[in-house]
Amino acid sequence: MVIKMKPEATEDQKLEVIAFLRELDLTPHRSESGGNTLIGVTGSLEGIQTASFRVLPGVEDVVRITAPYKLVSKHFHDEKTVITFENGVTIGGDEIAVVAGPSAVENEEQIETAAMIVRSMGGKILGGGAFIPRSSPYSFRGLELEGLKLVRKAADNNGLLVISEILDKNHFDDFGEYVDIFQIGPRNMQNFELLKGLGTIDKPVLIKRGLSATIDELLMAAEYVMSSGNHQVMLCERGIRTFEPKTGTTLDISAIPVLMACTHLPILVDPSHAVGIRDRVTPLARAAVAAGADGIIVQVHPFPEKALIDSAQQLYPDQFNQLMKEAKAIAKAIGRTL
Amino acid sequence: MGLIGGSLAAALQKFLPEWEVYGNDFEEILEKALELKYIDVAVKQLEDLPEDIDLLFLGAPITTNIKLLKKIDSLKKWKNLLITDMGSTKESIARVADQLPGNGWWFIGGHPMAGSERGGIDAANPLLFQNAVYVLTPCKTKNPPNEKMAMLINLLYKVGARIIKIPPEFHDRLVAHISHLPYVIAVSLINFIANEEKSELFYQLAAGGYRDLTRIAQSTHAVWNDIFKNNKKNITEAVDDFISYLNALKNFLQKDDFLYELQQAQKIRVKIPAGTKGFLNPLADIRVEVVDKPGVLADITSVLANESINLKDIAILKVRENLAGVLQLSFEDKKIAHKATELLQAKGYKIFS
Repeated sequence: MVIKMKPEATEDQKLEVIAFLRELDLTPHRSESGGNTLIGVTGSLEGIQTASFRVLPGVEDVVRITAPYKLVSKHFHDEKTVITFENGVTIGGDEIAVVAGPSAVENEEQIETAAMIVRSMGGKILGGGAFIPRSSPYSFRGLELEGLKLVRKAADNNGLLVISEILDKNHFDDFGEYVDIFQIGPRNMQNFELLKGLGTIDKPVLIKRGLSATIDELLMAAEYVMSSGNHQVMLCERGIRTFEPKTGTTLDISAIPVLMACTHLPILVDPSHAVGIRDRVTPLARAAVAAGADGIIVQVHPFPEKALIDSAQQLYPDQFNQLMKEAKAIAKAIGRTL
Repeated sequence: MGLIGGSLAAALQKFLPEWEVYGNDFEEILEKALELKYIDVAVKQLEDLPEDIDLLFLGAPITTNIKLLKKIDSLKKWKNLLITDMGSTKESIARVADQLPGNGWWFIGGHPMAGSERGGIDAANPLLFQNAVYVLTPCKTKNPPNEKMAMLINLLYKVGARIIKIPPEFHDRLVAHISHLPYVIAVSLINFIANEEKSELFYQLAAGGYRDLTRIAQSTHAVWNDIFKNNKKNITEAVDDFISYLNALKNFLQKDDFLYELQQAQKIRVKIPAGTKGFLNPLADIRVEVVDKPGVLADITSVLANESINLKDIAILKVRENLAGVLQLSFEDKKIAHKATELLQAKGYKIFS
């Protein structure tokens, strides 16, 4: 439910409404939008009539939100959320963010070389897997804490931010020390305990859509994190399972405009994991930019054929160079920068 | 424009024809380079290089590259130039680059780990860098801006190289151990043993393994002289370490406790990747059993010639006169060696690889 206050409503009237909500054990979320004060309401609204709020002094309108998600919804927060980092990088604004790096941090030289490549070609955020969820317990699962330290060092040496996937609540402290963006992988999109835990950290979180998750389920995952206290949430489309065997998963481009219509959170796209083969990544990256994505996540490796994991999908640096050129041109065509 | 410079120019013509390639070297070499169409424009003097060039590769010996770098800086002619070298040691030139004022240029050291026994522009090959590791060693103060770096990275990948960035000091220590020390050992093996065994038997029996081990001693000694000058400290350390290790091995030998070392060596060697190129590109060898009678060589080579198979090296591993011997044929890579094997087997020859 959203309570819209009249433009001429006084501060006291607004505070009255908020106090009233609290008395009813509801949680008010106040936001200012274009001169109007909006008060979003979460909590159990069973048995509560919107009429009881409409009559309060200063209230212009009360809208019942039928969608299950509130905080992520545009109704609650009109303006687009822009995540800002200390070094000036933003995600969600005009500039389309480029996150790039190898699937896994394999050794110091590999990640340092990758960081140099990412920075020189215009990427702003370095991705490197240190804790890698593998379908098989016998596969390489990352350098773990050592990997985090290496990717941090490489990023610092090259003026980049760090994103890495977190699997376990026990790693919150380590990640807090080495990482700028916490990434939740598709298989953890509905790990509700982990999501709730992420509400307590004060760093941005990127949630990837589950392999067979609906858009609403993705939004609810974000709702979990936001309602637990962390509003710096970003969403990522990375391909969903369909009946088509020729692609690993099918990149759901339609998710971009659909999400943009429902939520104010930044939307990123990972074409690498979606299609799984490097020659097919660039066209999808172009499509993502053209469809309005706020960022793309691309895998690049200095030695793709020798990569320890995902060797078929990681781009050669010259392919990454070409992708950046093309993505820049498309961004320009739609009035954004990259 | 020797082996490496010439190969790079040739590779550029093949994979990046949109780049305009200027070459600078001695007259005769420039003539050849133009003839072979490796370069677009021959430049007799360094100062004649146009001021708007984007990249400059220094392909001379390390000591010469350092002189060239100093000269370029003093000429102050260029504005937006990324200079990189292709020398086998990185620290000496990085230090010079850092000390120079830096008039309109940036520098990043480079070392393509690719080579061949033969040198010079005649041995140049546009595919030299395919799958070759290309080390980049940034200096401290002359690092290029992003666009220039991206330009270089893109170019290197397009000619087939795989870059890896490591600090110059680390590089020089590493190559002292994996490249320079082996050369020192090869030279010492040849000189030492030949001096000891002054009999004809040495030349007859010292085939196979001994030749393989000492193959690198065949490379141009002028190049190595230049390398030794520029990596003296690290090579000396490596030699000292090696002497200690040899002494340790001597002890194991005394105590009959050698087996572990032998097993370790086997295990480790298997892990060295065969696919990527090192400073010396290994050829694929096969051995053909031959009877020592006239016409055999002609027969074998004509079988290969009919299928246009390029024979890179041939060695007759003779053991006894007038009896069966072994012919060692070397080809560019395993695929070609395999094809040759099939052809020769079809003709009834017995092959061991």
